[in-house]
Amino acid sequence: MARPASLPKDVLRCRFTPVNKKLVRRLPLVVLACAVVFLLFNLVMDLRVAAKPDALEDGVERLAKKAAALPHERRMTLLWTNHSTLSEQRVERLRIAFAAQMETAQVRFVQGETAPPLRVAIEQTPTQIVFTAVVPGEGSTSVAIEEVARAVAGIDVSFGSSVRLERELLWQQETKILSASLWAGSAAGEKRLAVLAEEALQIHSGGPGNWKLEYTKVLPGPRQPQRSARGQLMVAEDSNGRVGILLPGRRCEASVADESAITCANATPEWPSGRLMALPSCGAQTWWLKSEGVDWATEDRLLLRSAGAGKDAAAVAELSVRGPVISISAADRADSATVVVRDLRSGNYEVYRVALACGD
Amino acid sequence: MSFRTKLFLLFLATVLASVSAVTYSVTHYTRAAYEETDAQRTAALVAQFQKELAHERESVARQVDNVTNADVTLKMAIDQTKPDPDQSLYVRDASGAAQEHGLDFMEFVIADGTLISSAEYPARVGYKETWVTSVKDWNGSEAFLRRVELPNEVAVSLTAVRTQPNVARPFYTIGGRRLNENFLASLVAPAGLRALLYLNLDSGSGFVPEDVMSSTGKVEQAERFAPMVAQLQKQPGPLIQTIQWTNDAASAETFHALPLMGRNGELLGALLVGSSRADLVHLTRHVMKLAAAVAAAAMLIGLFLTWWVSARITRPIEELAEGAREVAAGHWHTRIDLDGQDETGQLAAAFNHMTQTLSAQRERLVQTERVAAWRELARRLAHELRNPLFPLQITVENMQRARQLGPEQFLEVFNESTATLKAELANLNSIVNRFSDFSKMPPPEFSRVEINEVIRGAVRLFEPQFHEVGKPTITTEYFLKEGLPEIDGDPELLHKAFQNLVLNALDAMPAGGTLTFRTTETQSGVRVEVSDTGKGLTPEECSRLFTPYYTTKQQGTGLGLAIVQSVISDHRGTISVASEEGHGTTFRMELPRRQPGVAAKKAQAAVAERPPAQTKAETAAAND
Amino acid sequence: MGPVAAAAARPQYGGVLRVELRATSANLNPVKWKAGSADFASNERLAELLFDRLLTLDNHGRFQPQLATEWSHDAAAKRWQFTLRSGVKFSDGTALTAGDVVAALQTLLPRGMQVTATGGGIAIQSATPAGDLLELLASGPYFIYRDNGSGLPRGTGPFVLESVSASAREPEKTGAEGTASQTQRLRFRFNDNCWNGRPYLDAIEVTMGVPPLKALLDLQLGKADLGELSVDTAKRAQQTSLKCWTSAPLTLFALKFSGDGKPEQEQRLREAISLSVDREAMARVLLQKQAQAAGSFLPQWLSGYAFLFDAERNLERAKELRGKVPPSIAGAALPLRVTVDVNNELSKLIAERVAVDARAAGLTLQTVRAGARTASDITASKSEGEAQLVALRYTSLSARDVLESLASGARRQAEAGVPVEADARYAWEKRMMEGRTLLPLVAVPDFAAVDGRVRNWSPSPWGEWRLADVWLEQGDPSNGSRDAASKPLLGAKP
Repeated sequence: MARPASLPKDVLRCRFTPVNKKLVRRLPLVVLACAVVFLLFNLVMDLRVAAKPDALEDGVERLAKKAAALPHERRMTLLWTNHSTLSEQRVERLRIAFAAQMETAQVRFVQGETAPPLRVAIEQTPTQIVFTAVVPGEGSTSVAIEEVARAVAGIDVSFGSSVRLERELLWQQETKILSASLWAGSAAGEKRLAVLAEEALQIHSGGPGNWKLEYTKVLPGPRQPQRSARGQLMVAEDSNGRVGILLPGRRCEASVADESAITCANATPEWPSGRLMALPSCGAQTWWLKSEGVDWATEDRLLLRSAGAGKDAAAVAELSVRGPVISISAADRADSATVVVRDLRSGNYEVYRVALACGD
Repeated sequence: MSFRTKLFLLFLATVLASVSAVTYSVTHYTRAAYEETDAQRTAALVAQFQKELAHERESVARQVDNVTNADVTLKMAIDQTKPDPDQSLYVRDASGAAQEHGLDFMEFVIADGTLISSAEYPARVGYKETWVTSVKDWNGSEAFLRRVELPNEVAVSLTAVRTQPNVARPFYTIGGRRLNENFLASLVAPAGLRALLYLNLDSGSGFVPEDVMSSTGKVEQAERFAPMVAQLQKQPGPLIQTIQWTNDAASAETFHALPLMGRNGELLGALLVGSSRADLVHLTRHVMKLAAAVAAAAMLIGLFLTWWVSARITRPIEELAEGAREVAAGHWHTRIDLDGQDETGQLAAAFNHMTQTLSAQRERLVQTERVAAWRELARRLAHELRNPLFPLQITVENMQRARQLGPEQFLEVFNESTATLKAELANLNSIVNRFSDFSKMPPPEFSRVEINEVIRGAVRLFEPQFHEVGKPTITTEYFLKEGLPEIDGDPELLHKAFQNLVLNALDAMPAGGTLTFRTTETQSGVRVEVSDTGKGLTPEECSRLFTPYYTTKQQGTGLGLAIVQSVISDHRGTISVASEEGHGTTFRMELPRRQPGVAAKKAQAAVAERPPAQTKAETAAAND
Repeated sequence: MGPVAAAAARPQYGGVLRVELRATSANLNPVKWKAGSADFASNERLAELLFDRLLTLDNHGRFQPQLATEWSHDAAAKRWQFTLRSGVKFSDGTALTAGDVVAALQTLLPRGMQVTATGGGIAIQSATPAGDLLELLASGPYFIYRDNGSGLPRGTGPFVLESVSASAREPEKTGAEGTASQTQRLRFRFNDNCWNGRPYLDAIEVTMGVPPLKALLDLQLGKADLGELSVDTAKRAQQTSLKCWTSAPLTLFALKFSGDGKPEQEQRLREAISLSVDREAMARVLLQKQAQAAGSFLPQWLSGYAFLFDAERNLERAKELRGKVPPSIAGAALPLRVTVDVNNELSKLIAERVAVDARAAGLTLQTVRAGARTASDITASKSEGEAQLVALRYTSLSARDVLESLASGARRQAEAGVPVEADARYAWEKRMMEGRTLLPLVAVPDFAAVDGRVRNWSPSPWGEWRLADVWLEQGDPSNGSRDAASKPLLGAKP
């Protein structure tokens, strides 16, 4: 059914409902009717989505106006908390809209200073998105609240921006791998894979299923105890063919372009706990890829969290692996990582390329 | 009091004393035996309680051991040793553990004293139980009494605490059973004994009647235990007190209080073992009733016996007494007819013999006295008559001689002689009259007389003589009690008697002296004392003073004091004399107030105010 | 909790769902329900089987049409227009008319709202702006039914009440003390005339008055398919293989004071009590993390701003206030008596905890057991003590409606009604909190557990069970023989 031009603000809904026996008998007509209705429904939904992308932003702007009108400190920081199911991007947009509206009311927020915070919380009830602003005043606080019906809030325009993880097996071996890293090779389509074992660094070139060992470089110094052997490859995009190796008590460097020996110096390295990844097509956001951190006899999970979220924040994507994650290192692109896993069923050490993917 | 009464009282006293002594002995020894038995039974019940308590302690400790060693508890203890343990997981576990092991109370406490689960007070979960952490290892310790806080009350529990042995940090299991009337129900108390529990749950609030419990529920009049409990609270220790529930002594109950102490010596309650005294009281009452019955029976028997015995004894004595009274009344021939060979028969025979002998002796005495009196009278007559007769004789002889004188001389002698003759004849006449008067002293005519007035009247007559010039002065002193009651008397006779006494006193004080009159009231009448300060009397004179015609004077008939005695005797009074040679004599007369058969009649106003004409008696007395 | 069914499993027709509920009896006439009472929830769940509403709210905040297909309102939101679905019939085959809707709603709508039939639909006119009318109509007692006056009202829902039976049950050791009670059993069979199509289940058998522990045992023994649990049994159920569901906090436990607390000392005392209670510990420890500390009347999930109310314990301030209360006020020297429903163990536990917390501040509270009547009934005519531990159910999706029913129960008439706007409502709630007739303590969710063979069960966070969409995985001989593709075996004519 068409939507009149002078529609009131609230939504008209029409939904296809299951039919009774009589309808079943008139199946073809029913199917045709359903198809028509379905198409119209989508149209309406699209229109609705397209027509109401800013109901929430309207809401935060109204909230900002209310907050600006309340007694407030001259200098404030903005503390923005989301407890709703709105996406991070949307929440971020709302924060920007709020700050902008506050600015028009001559209220600027300061960063990194000790100033009382203006706390805005985004909450969710069964029917409403509730914005609450607690405004610090002189000796007291005031509260402004704004509600937006969830039905009016509509679907997030970046609906298709849900991110997931995908993996690709690059390498596996029976002997222990401490770390591995993948990067683009010199030739088009060629990759380089560095595999750090207990005693040596191996450099392979080629691609998954078609690796050729280029160099083997022995790690200088005494061999690490087997039980506590640990190592991490650090590869930067502009490293000019050099890889960094973190070992317990040492920091080493090696060239992947020639057979030169690995050089090491004593250091107290800071071991990275994960990999920061970004996928522009999935939104202007960065994520941390980390493992859940189980013991070496349990299957692990890779968890992707928003870079700004705390460690307790829920993962936006996860990937189960068949054993403990030994290390996470850089890969050939910013949206991927090289992950070493020990497969508990086979006992093999496997090297994966784990990449972000956008959409369902 | 009659002999019968005395005998009865004596018998009664004997019976009562005997019964009392026996009753006292019986009750005393019965009470002693009862107390001893009671003490033994009480001790047995207390021992039973102690034993049950010990048994319960062991049972509680055992159950708490079981809970502590259970896998679930071990798991709980291990979980609590981990960093950031989830204490909320076990909130309900204590309740299940308590039920499973038959305990009323169960709590789990972690190392820092935080309660993580409680069966009896789940609302306290999260709070600290600091007392339990004061001991690191409770294992092996005995169960003890403890005050347990519950939501709406405070209970006393037999509690055991155990520490989980397999974990590094202490984990405490606290379990217990409530001490209440159910525990009392497990005791078997002999008849007459009962066990109560007072749980002194909040010593700050004093005695609470509701805290006294028995195995059957509520205790009546529980507030009566307040003083006992107050004393226990002040000074915990074994205590014995008796409480009488009603006015009936049989309701009394003796309570032995045994304090129940907690782990730190705090008083948590008391076991009160009550022993009813009803049996003892009833027994005592029974004995008393029996004693009273015996005493009453003995009294009745005694009364009968007394009557019978006394009848057998007192009747003869009464007859004897009656006989004696008859004899005293002058019936000297009184005889008592009493048979029997016993003492009373002998006494009657002796009495009869006595009266017979007395009668014969009296007759002989009367005869002798009559002869003596005749002789005395003859002597006195001869003496009295001789005096006037001699002058008569001399005068007649003078007249015979004077016949030879001249007429003028004869006339002078004749006149003088006739005057003498006439005087002596008058004297003879007076003597005869006096004797005549004495022989026919009239019976008294009684009327109410004021004895003081009679005395004054009698003495007044002699006043001139007391102060006659040329004669020794007689001083009179009066100690007459005023307000003396009037007595029945013959005023004339009394007057005469007092005059005779005055005359007698005057005769005894030829050189003057003091004559004292004293009257006092006695129980039965009046006493009159007439005292002089003359030469006094010898004992022989005293004994014969009132004998008629006995006189110590050269002159006189000797009838004065006899008249006095006769008057006093007619007035049913008594007269006695007290004298000391050289110091004077006192005549004491006692006159009764009333004479039998006399109508009250006041005497003439003043015998002393009678006209000067004297009566014959007075004249006779004046001439003596 | 999301949908239970595996994505690939196809629904099967047939089977009898065995449900066990705590409430001892069912009342299927919405007019007679008391807002805020504990029985409201079970009545509502059963009514969902028989009746429909004009609309419902899905788990994503979207209103879905039921008996109304369209709705609109004027600018002031005072006049609402609803278009009724056509072709809807009651279970007896008679057609649903606008008049039926009007008759049903008029008895239920709050004062100030009038409903009239308009061609093809109904109109609701409100004296004040009713921006939350949809929330109101999508929850609570606003079912559409026809009352014939001869007993049970008729509905258009997926099930029909087939039978009600009662049998004596042995007295339970917990709950009612030694009183024998009747067990009510209701049997609902599918409604062939349902506009939404017949449900998958042939029937639903509901046993009332089942204590949570017994329900858990029955679930484990296979004697029940869906059982209502409690705080402690839910914790136990989570340790079994049963699928457990926990709603949003739906029952508010609060301390309700008799008297309006006008004297200043009483206000101080109440404030002292409120500050002495450690709500966080109560929710976290005592209620084993199954509850939420409640510093306001409305829970966070309903108002969105409950966190603005301070629920922190402040023992020092509580002691300070206590020092200013004279001994003559109950709670200071003499104990303040708090009446607790004898049938509700949770109420007793919470009341005792309040007493323990208050004692730390020098306040004396004593719990007193009320009679067999429910102390959660906030409109009870008389309290036995100076305060009452009440359990108040959130029975509406409209925050305003919930506040109004709380206010009327606390004997505080709204000065001019509770506002709809969030700002004003927050201020209104804050003022009501300052009156301290009602002290919120904790909010407790509903708990239930289902057997593994129950599929497609997706209850709402606010407690709707939505059993109409449930189907049973067949093959359990104890439930009769079932064939996945077979037609229902137990169909009976209405």
